[in-house]
Amino acid sequence: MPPLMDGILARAQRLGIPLNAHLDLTYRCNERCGHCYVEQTGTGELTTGEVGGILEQLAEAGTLFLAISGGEPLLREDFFEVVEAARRLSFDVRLKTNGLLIWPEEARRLRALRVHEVHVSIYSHRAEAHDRITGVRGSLERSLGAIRLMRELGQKVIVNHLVMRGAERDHREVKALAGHLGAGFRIDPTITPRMNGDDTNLALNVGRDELVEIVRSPDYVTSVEEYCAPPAPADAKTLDGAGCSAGFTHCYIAPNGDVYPCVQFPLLCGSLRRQSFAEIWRDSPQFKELRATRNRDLPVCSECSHLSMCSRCPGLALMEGDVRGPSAADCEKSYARTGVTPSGRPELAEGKFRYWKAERVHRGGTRERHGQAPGTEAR
Amino acid sequence: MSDKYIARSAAIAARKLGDEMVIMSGETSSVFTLNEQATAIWEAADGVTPLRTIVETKVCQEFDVAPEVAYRDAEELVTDLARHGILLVSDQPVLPAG
Repeated sequence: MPPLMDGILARAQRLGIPLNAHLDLTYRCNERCGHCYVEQTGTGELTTGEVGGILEQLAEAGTLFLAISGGEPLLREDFFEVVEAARRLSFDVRLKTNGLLIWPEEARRLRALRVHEVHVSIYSHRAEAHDRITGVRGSLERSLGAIRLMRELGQKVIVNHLVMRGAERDHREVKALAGHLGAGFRIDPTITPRMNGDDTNLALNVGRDELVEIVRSPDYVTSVEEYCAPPAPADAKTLDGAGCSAGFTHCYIAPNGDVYPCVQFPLLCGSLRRQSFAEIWRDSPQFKELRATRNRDLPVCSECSHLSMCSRCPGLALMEGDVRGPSAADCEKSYARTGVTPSGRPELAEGKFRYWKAERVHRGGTRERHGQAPGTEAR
Repeated sequence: MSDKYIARSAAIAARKLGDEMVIMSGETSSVFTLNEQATAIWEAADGVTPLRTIVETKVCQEFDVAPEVAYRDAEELVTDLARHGILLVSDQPVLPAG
């Protein structure tokens, strides 16, 4: 991240400003991806007026970067009305879509509204693999068609590639395809559990070999030497620091107006149908507790040799049972990066891999105990 | 002496962070920050108020700066912002950014 942006984020954190917000307009989708964390439903969605009011509150609170996603956000009939309102309020808008509903007129409108980036999910360069994942025949061709339409108009497009079984080792070809289309490329090696706590989709995660290949690839990492170096011991500054930006400068708003620290952090902090955004952001006990937590308060991670470089996700940790605990996905990533076994994860060195979990935590806080999740056998 | 008129570009996103303005240019994916004085000029860039008036009312009065010094600095600032495509500068009043 550029140093200027680092400084802006640090300033936003000091001032308690939610600089980044992620707004899911709907959980409805026109694809049927097996890995998706969303439960597809259209019940309880905010009205156009409610969304407009929330955007005004976010602008007032200081949010600049707004990610609009879903589900498939273009399924909302008022989609462009919402984007227009967001741009009128001077948000930097990034759209996450599968592109199926972006035809010439939609591409033109997105460009005219100066949407900063349109992120389109592409799982494989092979139609049979991509379409099998989305459950929609012809979806790769349509998504690529949408990208071409947008690029012809000069729209900035990012190809988002989630690495998963069924499209193993396609990432290099997808990256090449993105380059050919004049689009940027982002790769994500982690599938997250579903919002309802069902983690059977984690079985779609690729194995350790491919994860290692990705996190140690100069194609995706600026400095492999630095990124994969053995972790330095945590100093006092690290111990006094907090983890990610969720709840500090970032928040997530669900299609029904519920507010969370992040899309993959099922800690309900309030409802915008009952409270103002400012009240929730400032006064919610959940946000307060999250902000009060320092790395030194994490019972396992504070003792872990990876603390100084780990990207521990408290949301995934919560889904695994303890918001202050380690997140298996991040332990695995750290292990893949460095080859050093994280504290509390001896099973990694024994060849066991992928999401050893004790219980599921659903949105709203209900818990369900269970044993080892599917897909956690050694690979 | 002809005056200048300034208007914020419709292509940008901006938000005030404390007393500083953060501006994101979607066209170049570049981020800019303006200090307090520059933010005062940016906020007053409505396309119809002459730059000299903005400097006199928003900078000199608020920040205790001599008018000619402030105007020279403001001209430099708006030229630089225009070069980055985030501000429109004209010899005539311009429509405000949508």
